[in-house]
Amino acid sequence: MIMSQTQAIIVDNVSKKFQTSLLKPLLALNQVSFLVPRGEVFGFLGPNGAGKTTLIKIIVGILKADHGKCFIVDSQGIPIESFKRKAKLKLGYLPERPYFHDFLTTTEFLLFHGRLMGLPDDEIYAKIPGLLEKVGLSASRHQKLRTFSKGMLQRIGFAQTLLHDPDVLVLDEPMSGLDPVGRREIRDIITQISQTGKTIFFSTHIIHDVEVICTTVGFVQNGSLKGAGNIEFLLGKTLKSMEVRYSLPEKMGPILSPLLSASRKTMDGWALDIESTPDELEKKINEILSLILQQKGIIKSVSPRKSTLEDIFFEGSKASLSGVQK
Amino acid sequence: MKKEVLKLFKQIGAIAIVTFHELIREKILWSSFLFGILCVGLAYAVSQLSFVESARIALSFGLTAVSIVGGLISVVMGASLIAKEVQNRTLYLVLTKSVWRWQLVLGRYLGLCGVLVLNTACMIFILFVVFLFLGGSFQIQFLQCLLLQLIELGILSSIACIFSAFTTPTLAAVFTLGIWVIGHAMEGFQIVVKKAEISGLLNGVLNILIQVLPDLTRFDVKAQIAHTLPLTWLYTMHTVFYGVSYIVFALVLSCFIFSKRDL
Repeated sequence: MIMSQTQAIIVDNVSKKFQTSLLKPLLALNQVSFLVPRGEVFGFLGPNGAGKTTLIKIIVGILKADHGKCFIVDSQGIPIESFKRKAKLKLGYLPERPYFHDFLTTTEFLLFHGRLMGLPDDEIYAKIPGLLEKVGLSASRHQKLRTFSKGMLQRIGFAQTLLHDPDVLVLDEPMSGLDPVGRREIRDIITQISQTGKTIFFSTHIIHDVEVICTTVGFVQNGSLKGAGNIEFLLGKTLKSMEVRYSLPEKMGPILSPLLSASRKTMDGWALDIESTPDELEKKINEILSLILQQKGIIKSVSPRKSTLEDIFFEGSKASLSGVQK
Repeated sequence: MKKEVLKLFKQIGAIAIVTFHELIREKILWSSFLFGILCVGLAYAVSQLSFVESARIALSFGLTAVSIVGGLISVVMGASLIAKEVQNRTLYLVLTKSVWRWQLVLGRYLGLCGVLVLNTACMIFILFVVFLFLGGSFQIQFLQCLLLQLIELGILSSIACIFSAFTTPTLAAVFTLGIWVIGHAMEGFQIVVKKAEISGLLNGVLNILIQVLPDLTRFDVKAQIAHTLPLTWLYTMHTVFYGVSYIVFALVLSCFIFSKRDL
């Protein structure tokens, strides 16, 4: 495991079992290892029950791993074990559902969490207006949390994560259960926070959220990491096919050549999807383009068709991610 | 170092304040409190049945009511003190802050103690108003009685805390209630064990139980108060020391159990 200043979170060979029955323990995490780069938005994808929340609990120090360790790397590049108090000072955590002391008002809630972080009261009071402004809750300063909608609870949850200005934010399914407007608001807050240079690690099973805001991603399934890496890299690596659009001279059709026989008719000519392994794709395209030109055809466009994260998640995750950072 | 210790106490204080806020809103507290006030009223009614010593009868009846109501609040609220935080999952956010688990246990316990002190003080105050109204006069023993009553509630809450650290609120309440009852029958229990002349393993187990379970009869000074029997400060302080030691032991145990628990 490489440790450097460019990492924010290090998950090193983490395994966790739960004794759900006397005879057969449940293996929630099985030797999971990956790195979260500093300053990036890391999406932790996996179906329900895959082990996302368990790993998050280990990262934020609520649970201890049976094997392996999680580290939070400070700005000097020194890794600190995640259950240590010093590591918690670097972390902000938003749980899956906003389970807060709902009898408190917004101000009381932030004051409580600020005090738990050891901040002086005057510093907390000074920070509150700015934080509420940031999450769009300035008008609800004296409102009790029990009167809040779920979206508002998530936003006040964000405010408490930022109270002590942590380097790393760990968000457990921050957008689950929200309506489209609420999801958009939370997405905007995450984007806004990520622009300040903070590292954001969030779990979700909603692929679209990851595609929109994440720069890196990790996939977990049945407690095992299937892969992790840069989204662009993952999608590039799993190039699915190329589409060639072309036209041929009058009275000539693609039927003349076996290579072009799979073409389909379009409004202004023909289109052909070329599927192959990444290594052979280039060679095959060159052959097809040469053939079209030989037949005095016109090439209108050649466009790559990459896999989406959804494709990787549902079909190819296991195979296509092999070789990516594990 | 000093700053760090101060920070630890400030964090415990923050948890205690929120716990106090939380518990003071509980319906069970208010209904128990009202029940206590009703009992004090009943004490007044009962005292009217007697032509002599009506103030002492009211006091005796009232102190018993205050003790039972306080005990019930300790058992019910103490049993859910940590378990409820786990069930409601509100502790996740707290534990991800730079807070030790023992700080959470201690903070929650102190919050409950605050509620118990307030509740008992209110009920005792009303009882003494009734007592003075019936012609009784203030004695210093009242304060000793209040102190011992509070320590007993502290012991019960700390025991509830132990169970709350690893089981459900209902089971924790049942276990604590059992210990409360046994604790008040401890004197009789000790005599029975001595006189029964049990030998072997059972005797060993019973003697360990006698040592481990709290002797709550020490805190019951209602008879001394009601009948103006002597109650020395030496006895009071000795009993307070016993109670505080027991509370410390119970809290250390609950902190240890809770720190080992997978959440």
